[in-house]
Amino acid sequence: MEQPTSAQEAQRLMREIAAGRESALARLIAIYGRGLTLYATRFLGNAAEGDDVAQETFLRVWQTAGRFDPDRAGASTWIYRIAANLCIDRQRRGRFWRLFVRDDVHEMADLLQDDAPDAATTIAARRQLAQVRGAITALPERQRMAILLTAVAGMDTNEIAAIMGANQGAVEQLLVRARRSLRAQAGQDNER
Amino acid sequence: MNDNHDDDDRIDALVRAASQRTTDEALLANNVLRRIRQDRQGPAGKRAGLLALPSFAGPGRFAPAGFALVLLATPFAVARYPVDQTEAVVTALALGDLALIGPTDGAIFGRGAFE
Repeated sequence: MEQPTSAQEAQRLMREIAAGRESALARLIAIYGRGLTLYATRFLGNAAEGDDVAQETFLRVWQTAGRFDPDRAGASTWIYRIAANLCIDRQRRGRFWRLFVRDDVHEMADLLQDDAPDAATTIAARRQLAQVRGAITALPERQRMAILLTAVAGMDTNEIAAIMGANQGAVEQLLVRARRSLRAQAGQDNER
Repeated sequence: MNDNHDDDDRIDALVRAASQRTTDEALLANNVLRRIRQDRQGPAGKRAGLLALPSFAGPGRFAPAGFALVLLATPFAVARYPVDQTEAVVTALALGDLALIGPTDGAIFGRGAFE
């Protein structure tokens, strides 16, 4: 989840970035970097690709901050829209690379470096989370994007609609379907 | 209605938990700012920045199939640098070399080793 920040602060940072102030970009990364990295990682199912997308997103923010219009979208919406487009591009052209990239190595490193205290984390809980990751990856692209934007990035349906270029009703439908699939998967896993 | 809402929250919490991983915002900022500065340095800097991505050259990262082919250039001799992967890639690319990054210790093979 992102650190709480006001829309005004984010807008001010965007103005400073457009004026070429690197410290403002560093502050923006401190605010949005974690949430955006988690979102991209889970969307793409790969930690290294998630890191790359986060890096590329903020580079684009730096290059195009002058085009940001606060009357049309909030800063977080604008930044996540860049990230969402990069994720889709990368997913569509990255299938070849995924034949070679060692996803399992990154996933294992993530598990080992998990923030949760080991003593409190049971094997069953870890297995359940691994199954949820698999179920998220198996969701259709737009369902996956919608559920991650709400659950991981903390966006409301209005913001998600702006990011995905859809209307609110469509986003609500995507969320209903995504949760239904995940709920069914969780139910199956509990029955095993 | 409340039950549905509670269950939606439970699913969202599972998604959130399944998405947790260690992140380093300071490293991310450092990488982005370094690429911005490399862009300012012109073609050599841009080329190095483009290819010195974390998936290929970050600490603890492994290149696909053991090696990453970075750039093909003029005939080269082979040497071995036991140095940090990222720095090695940036150095080799700035020299316009062929660079192969070792999978475990950041060893780099390239013409620049002799210059």
